[in-house]
Amino acid sequence: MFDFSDISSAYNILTANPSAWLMLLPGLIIGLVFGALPGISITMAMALFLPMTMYMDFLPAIIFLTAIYTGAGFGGSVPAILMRIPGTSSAVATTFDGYPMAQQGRHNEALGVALGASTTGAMLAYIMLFILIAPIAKVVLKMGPLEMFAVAIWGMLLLGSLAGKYVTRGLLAGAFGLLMGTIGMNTAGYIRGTMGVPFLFDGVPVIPAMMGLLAASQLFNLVNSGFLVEEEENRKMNFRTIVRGVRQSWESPLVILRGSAIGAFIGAIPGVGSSISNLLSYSETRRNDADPDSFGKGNPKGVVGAESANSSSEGGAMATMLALGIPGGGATAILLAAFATHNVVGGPQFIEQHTDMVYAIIILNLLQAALLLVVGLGFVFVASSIVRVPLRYLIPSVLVVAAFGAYSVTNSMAGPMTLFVFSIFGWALARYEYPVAAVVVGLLLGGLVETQLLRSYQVSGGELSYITERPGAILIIAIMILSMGITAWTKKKNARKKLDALARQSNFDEQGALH
Amino acid sequence: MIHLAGRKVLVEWGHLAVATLIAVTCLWYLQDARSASLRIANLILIQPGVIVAIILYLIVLPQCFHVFKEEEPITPKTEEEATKESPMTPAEFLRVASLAAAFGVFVFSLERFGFDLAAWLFVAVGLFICGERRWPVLAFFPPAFALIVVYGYQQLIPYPIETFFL
Repeated sequence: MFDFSDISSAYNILTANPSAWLMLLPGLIIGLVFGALPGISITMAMALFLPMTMYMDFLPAIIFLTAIYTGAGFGGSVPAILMRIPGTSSAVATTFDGYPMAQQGRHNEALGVALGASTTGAMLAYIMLFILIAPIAKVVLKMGPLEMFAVAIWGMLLLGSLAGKYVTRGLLAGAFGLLMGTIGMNTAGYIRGTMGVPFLFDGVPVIPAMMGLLAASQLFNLVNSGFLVEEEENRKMNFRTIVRGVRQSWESPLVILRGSAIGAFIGAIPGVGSSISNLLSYSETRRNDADPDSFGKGNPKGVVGAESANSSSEGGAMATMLALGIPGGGATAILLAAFATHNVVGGPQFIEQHTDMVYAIIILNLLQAALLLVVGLGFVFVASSIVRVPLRYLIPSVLVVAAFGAYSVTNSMAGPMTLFVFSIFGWALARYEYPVAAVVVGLLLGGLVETQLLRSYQVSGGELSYITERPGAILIIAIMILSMGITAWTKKKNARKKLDALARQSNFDEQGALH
Repeated sequence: MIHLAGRKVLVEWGHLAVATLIAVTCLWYLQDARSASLRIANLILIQPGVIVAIILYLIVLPQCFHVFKEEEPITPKTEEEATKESPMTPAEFLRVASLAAAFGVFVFSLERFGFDLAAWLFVAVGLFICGERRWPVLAFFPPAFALIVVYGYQQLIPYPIETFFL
C-alpha cells in the first residue's frame, strides 16, 4: 500500500528546515480570521498571501499556505453558527443545527462541537488519504460527466428531504435555484436569462446571492429582537462549555467516521465535492439517527455530521490536486500555482515520482489539523463574544460588511445588488417555509449540472443505452435511489409510530375519563 | 377570506405571490431560452427543469388555500394554525420593511455617495430603525464603524473603492 522509504524521506523533507514551522501558527490564525469574515473567502485569503510565499523556500511557503487553507476551512463555521452566514458553500449544512443551537444560548457548545468534529474529521480524512491516495486517484480519473451529473443531482434531491417540513416546497426551491444557476452563457455558447445585464453573462454571482439568501434575509427578521440569544443567562462566554462541546463531538465517533469518509471521497470530485459532501453527511446522520425530527432544531449531531465532512473534503480536494493536478476549487488552484512557482507540478507522474513529497504534504496537513484544535479553542472563545453584542449594532454593521464583501468578490456593483435582491427573496422564502439552502445549492450546482449533462449527451450521441456502459454512474444512481427510498420509508415509519402513540394516548385518556 | 360555493376559503396571499413569482420567473426564463435557440445544447436542462418546477408549483398551489365550513368560526388562532405563519404585528412588519428599504437605498448609493458616506448614513438609519435612540451613539458609532470597515477593506482588497472622505 505504501513504501516506508518514502515515509522516511517525507520525514526528512519536513524536518530539513525546522524554522519553516514558524509559519504554521500565523498561517492558521490568518486562515481563521479571514475564514470568519463574511465575503472574504479562503480563495481571497490565499490569493492575498500568495505573492508573499514566492520569496520563501518551498517548505515554509507550503506550510504557510496550507495552514491558511486549514484555518479558513474551519473559520467559515464560526459565522455559520453565530450568524447563519456560511463563509463558504461547504458550511451550508453547519447552519442547519448550529444556528438554532446558538439561538438557544448553546453557542459555546455548538462552536466546540464544530471544532472537535472539524479537526477530528480532517485528521481522519488525512489518515485515510495517507493509506488510500493511489486508489482514490484511480477512481477519480474514471469519473466521467455522467457520474459527475449523477452526484450533483443526488445532492440536489437530498435537499428536498433535508430542510423544512414540506418536501414539495424544498424541491420547488431546489429546481428554481438550479435554473437560476444556469443563467448566463452556457458551455455551448448560448446566452439566456440575462435581461441584457452585462454582469449576468457570467451567471448570477453566487457568493453575494448566498450571503443574501442565508444571512441578510435572516438579519431582517431579527430587527424585532434584542439579542442573538434572547435569554441573558444564556449569553455567557464559557471556555469550559467549548471544551465540553469538543468532547461531546467525540461521543459520536460513527458520525465523525462516516462524515470523514464521505468528505474524503466526495471531496475528491473536482467542482462538486465540498458543496455536496457536507449535505450528504448531514442527511445520512439525520437518516440514521433515532430521532430525525430533532435535526434542524439544534441537534449537535447535525453539526458533527456537517463539520466532519466539510473539513475532510479539503483532504479529498488535496488528493485530487496532488494526484491528478486538477484543482477542486479556487483555494486548491492557488495551492497548485504556489507549487508551480517552486517547480512542483501535481499530476499522476508527480504522485509516482515524488511519493515522498505527497506523504510530506499529507503529514503536514495532519499536524495542522491537530494544532487547529488548540488554536481554534482560543479563537472560538473570542468569536463567541458576538452573542453579547446588541442586535441593533450587529444588524446594520453585518449588512454593511456583507455589502462590502459582496463588492470585493465581484469587483463591481453586481455583488451588492445581487446581495440586496436575494436578501428580499430569501426573507420571503423563509417566511413561507421554503428551505433557502435548497436555492443556494441549486445556484451553486446549476452551471455544473448543465455542463455535465451536455457533455454526457455529446459523448453518448443522445443514446440512452450509454448509461449501461457506465457502471460507476449506475452505482451512484442505485445508491441515490436506495438512500432516497430508505429516507421515505423511515419517514413513513416514524409518522406511523407517532399516529399509533397518539391513538394509544387518546384511548388511555378516554378510559381515564370513563373511570 | 373569500366565500366560495358555501365554503370559507382562507388565502395565504403572500405565499401565493411568492410561489407564483417563482413559477412566472421559470416560464419567462424558458421563453427567453427558447428565443435564444431551440437546440438541445441550449435547452437540455432548462426545458425539463422548468417543466418539473411548474409541476411542483401546481402541487404547492393548494397549500396556499385553506377551506373551512361556512358555519365554522375563524379566529386569529385558527388562522395562524392553518397558515403556520409566524405572527408579526403591523409595527414589526414595518420595521422589517423599513430596514430592507434602507438597505436597498444603501446598496444603490454606494458608488454615488462613496462607500464611506453610504455606510455612515446606513448604519445611522439602521441603528435608529433597530431601536437605538441615544444621540451620542447615533452620532459617533456610525462614522467610526464606517471608517474602520472602509479602511480595512481598502487594505484587504486589491482594487480601489469609491469614497467620499477617505
